[in-house]
Amino acid sequence: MSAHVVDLDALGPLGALLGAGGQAKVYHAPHVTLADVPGPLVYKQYKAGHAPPHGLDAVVARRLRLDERTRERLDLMTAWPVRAVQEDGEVRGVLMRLIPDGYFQDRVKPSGVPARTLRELQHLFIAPERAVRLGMPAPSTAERLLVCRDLAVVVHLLHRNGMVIGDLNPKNAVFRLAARPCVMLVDCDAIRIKGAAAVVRQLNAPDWNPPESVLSQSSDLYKFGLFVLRCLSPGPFASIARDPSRVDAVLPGDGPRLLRDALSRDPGARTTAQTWGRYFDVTLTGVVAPEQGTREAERTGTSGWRRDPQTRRWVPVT
Amino acid sequence: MESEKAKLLPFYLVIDVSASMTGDKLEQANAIMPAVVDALSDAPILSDKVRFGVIDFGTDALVRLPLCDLLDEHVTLPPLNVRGATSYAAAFRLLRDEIESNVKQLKADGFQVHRPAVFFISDGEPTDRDADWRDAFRDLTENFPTYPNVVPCGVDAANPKTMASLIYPASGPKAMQMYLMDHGQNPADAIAMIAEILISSMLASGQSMAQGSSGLILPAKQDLPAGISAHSSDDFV
Repeated sequence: MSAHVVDLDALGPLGALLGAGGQAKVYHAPHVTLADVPGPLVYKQYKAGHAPPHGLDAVVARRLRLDERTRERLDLMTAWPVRAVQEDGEVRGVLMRLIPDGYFQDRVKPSGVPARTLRELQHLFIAPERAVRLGMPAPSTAERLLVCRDLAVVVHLLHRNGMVIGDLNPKNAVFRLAARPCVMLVDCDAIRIKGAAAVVRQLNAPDWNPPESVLSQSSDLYKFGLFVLRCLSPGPFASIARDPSRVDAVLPGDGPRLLRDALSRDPGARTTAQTWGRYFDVTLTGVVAPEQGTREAERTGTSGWRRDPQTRRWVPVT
Repeated sequence: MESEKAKLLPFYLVIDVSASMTGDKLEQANAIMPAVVDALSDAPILSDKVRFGVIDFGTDALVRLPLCDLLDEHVTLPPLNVRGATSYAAAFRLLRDEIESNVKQLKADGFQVHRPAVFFISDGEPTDRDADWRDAFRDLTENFPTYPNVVPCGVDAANPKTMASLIYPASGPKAMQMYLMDHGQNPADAIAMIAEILISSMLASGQSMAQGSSGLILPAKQDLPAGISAHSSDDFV
């Protein structure tokens, strides 16, 4: 058995069922600890017929090959599959970090029932007074810009390490406002390594489809543009908006142009996550940070990866 | 660019409040609307996709909740009360009128409109003449270009054969299903389970409504709550 696969038996008794979706169930895994993963873990078991074929191994292995600093950042910003879990030699699921408490909102539902709700990105798109009425936060414009900035950082981290997010959508990332970082990508199933096939079929969530049919880092950038647009113009039908002029008055400086580029039909013309990150930094601090590129490189620690055409192994880009 | 018009799915609950619904069943029926609101509050962007309305019927039929955005702050959920007999005909006629005027209104407001979805819940046989309710049903479906997708849900003394005849469309690629309470199940619990099915169907339909995909999505059979089973129209002859 390789270092990135564990046996289901080795997990010990599973804890509470935390969630169930169309393709998988997620359980607490209170008896598992891993030296390379901070905090508690959960076990995501794919339903019969939804177990991903190989490809998952590669996504798990990809994380383990990152240098420690980058891996720490990845673990803060995503619920990355940290180990594949197998039973009788077949991959049945993955271990992931438990989403930290800070991404949940204690609220009271309209019927009066108390609830603990994940602060999904979708909650940023509805009218602030409605969000408050539903017991969710209504961030200020400055806080929204901060969330945009932090999502840009997540996208940039994944892109510069050769990943394609694929299905960036209003449910698979969560935010918090109290402490940094503010955004965490919670469903990494659709992520693939650039140049390889996706673990599960990469799909477009409704209303998030890019003009082109193939999902790539460029389509991630298109979807990021839609997120910026919708997050900064909350209200009725913001969740399906595509008209960049909605936020002309909200985005200072270069923002309106960056957004139009992000939503360009030409995949090559789209604003990169790094450019967005710099833009939001400047917008939020009012200070141009020329050393940003260097600082970013230091934090991520690696300049990217590519497949060696001969060996098919991942090698650092030099 | 914002060239596409917003598309809305009108979703109707049509529910039996005849005398036999008294007690626990009525209590569960009254729990449906708050449960739908709670579910929408967890997925609030569905308000950009789905509109919800409620019609109840006994001796007559009434619009209890006009088609609306359930998360709108001005919405007040009406209490359901029992009244008299079980007129399917009254329910179908009123539903047809509502659909006709609601769809017209939504289009006038600049929306595209998906084919409406109807969950029809009954606990007994219709008390009007057979020909009456069958005529009214044909006017709601075959003779109506804006016909809805109809999902009948039967609990307690509802006759499976009668309910099966209300599945619409009954065949073809977009055939609907019906949901029946299993034998020996508590009818009030069954209503709560049907509410669960309605909610998951509404969420799934709202979330999948993109270009191309359209209409009503019903939960997979293996995901149904225990005590309820799904049937297609040819299960009862």
